[in-house]
Amino acid sequence: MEDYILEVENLSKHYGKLKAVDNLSFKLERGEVYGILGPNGSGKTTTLAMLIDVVKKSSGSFSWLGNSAGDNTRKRIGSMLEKPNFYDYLSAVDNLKIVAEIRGVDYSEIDDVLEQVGLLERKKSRFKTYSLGMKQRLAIGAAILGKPEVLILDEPTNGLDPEGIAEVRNLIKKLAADNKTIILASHLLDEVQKVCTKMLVLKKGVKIFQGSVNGLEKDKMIIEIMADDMELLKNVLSQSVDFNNFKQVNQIIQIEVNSNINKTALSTYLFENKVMVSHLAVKQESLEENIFELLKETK
Amino acid sequence: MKSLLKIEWIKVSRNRIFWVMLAIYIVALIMAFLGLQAMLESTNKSIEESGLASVPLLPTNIYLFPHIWHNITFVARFFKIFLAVVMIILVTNEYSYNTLRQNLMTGLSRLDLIKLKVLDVIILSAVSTLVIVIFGLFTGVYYSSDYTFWDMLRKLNYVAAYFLMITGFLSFAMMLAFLVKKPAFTIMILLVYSYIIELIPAFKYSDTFGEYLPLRSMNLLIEAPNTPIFELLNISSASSSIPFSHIVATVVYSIIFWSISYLVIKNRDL
Repeated sequence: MEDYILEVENLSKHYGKLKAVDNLSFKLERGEVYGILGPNGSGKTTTLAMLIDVVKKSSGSFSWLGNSAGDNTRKRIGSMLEKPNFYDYLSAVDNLKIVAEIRGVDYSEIDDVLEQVGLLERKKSRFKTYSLGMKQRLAIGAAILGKPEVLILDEPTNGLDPEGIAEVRNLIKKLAADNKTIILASHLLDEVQKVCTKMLVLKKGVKIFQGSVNGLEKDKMIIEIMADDMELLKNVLSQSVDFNNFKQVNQIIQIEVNSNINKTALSTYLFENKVMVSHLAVKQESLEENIFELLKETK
Repeated sequence: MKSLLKIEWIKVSRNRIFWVMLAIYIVALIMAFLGLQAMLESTNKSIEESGLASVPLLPTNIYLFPHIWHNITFVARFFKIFLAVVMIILVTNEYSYNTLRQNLMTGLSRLDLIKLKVLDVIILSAVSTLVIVIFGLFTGVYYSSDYTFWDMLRKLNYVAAYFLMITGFLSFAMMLAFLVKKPAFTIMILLVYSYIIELIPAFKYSDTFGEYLPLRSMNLLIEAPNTPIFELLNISSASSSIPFSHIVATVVYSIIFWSISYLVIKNRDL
């Protein structure tokens, strides 16, 4: 039996006529780093906000670790949503003391967390004196205080400089290696690709893709090929097992193949069948293009 | 509960604006107590100078045990609006920092969010009451010459009623702040409601339900002391006891205000 941390069923949020999230279902396994990808306004934050009961769901259901989103369940989920929300006249330490108090965590863990997010030196400074990046890191700190089993990170690298982005991504990877379950929402594909193992693509509140990040990336690979004798080429290709999925675009044959097939195999095959190839190029469709495709398709 | 108290203490203890506002309130209250004595004395002086024998002299013994408790709680009644502003700021701060959301995310329940603010209501009421008790004890001992220990305590029921009144009023302010979210707007509504909107039906229907409107009901816990000064000022509602029905009404209203606040937070996206 699979060990699901989160099961979401037909979750919806409607604001009047606007469907911010529409009939969303997915399951989350323990230890997975799950990316929720989508353009701005696609319902990522609303979805996460519903999952921690900050925003009331319109319909549907979900359960964490087999329970509903009770208050004690929330204490086991570290989350940050959108912009960091803290008392701006309090220092980082005092803000985290409030978090520690709520979670029932010892104050001694605060310094560790501040160290991890790189704020230890500024721990006594008031929140309002922080730069956006520092505020963002404090929000991550608040989320990981008390070592929750599940982390919900909404655009965690928003507003960070390149160095900060790298640090946060490394931190996420480190947490993932610790067997934490992480849900990461982002509009940056690159981020999801670098950090996540599985992902869900949202568009206008509707799920348009779900699966492993690798799967989407590797499933599609296109080889472009031209030969002196195009008819022979087509003939030979249509007899093959691996390469019979081709189409002609102008003077070029495009073959869609699984990425585990390497192009040497193809050229060897063609050579054996006496096809003189004049052009052969692998056009690896990037994840970006795939997502772009997906977003276009559902228009 | 202990950790809720601690959370609120971390928030409030380092909130400079809160302390400044609270200090202004306490100073204003004490100055009003002291000023009242000076005002009475100076009025008496002009009456004496005018030589009109028919005008009664005002009582200047307002700080004597046991009546001091009734006198100063009645005066303090008019200053509770300032404390309500402090309370409103404590609630609307949570909206402007978006910390209701943050604290909920961290693991507090929606009921906890209300409990925290009810704690503030009770603590602020207690502080206000404590100021009155301390002031009353010092000035009472200073001005009274012939009193028994029982005289010191006899009218302390007014202090208890005062605590209840402030709790009720701050609960009302808290509920408004939870509903309205914005500090300036909330204060505006509170002022207009308490000084205009409620007063009209309160007096028009004073024979029937008028006296049991929320704020009127609380105010009637401590009516004007029955002394010549209020007769002169034509305040007819002077009394020398605390009506039990208004105690009940204030308690019931407070509970209603807490419940409405909870319902607002329970059903709202934070």
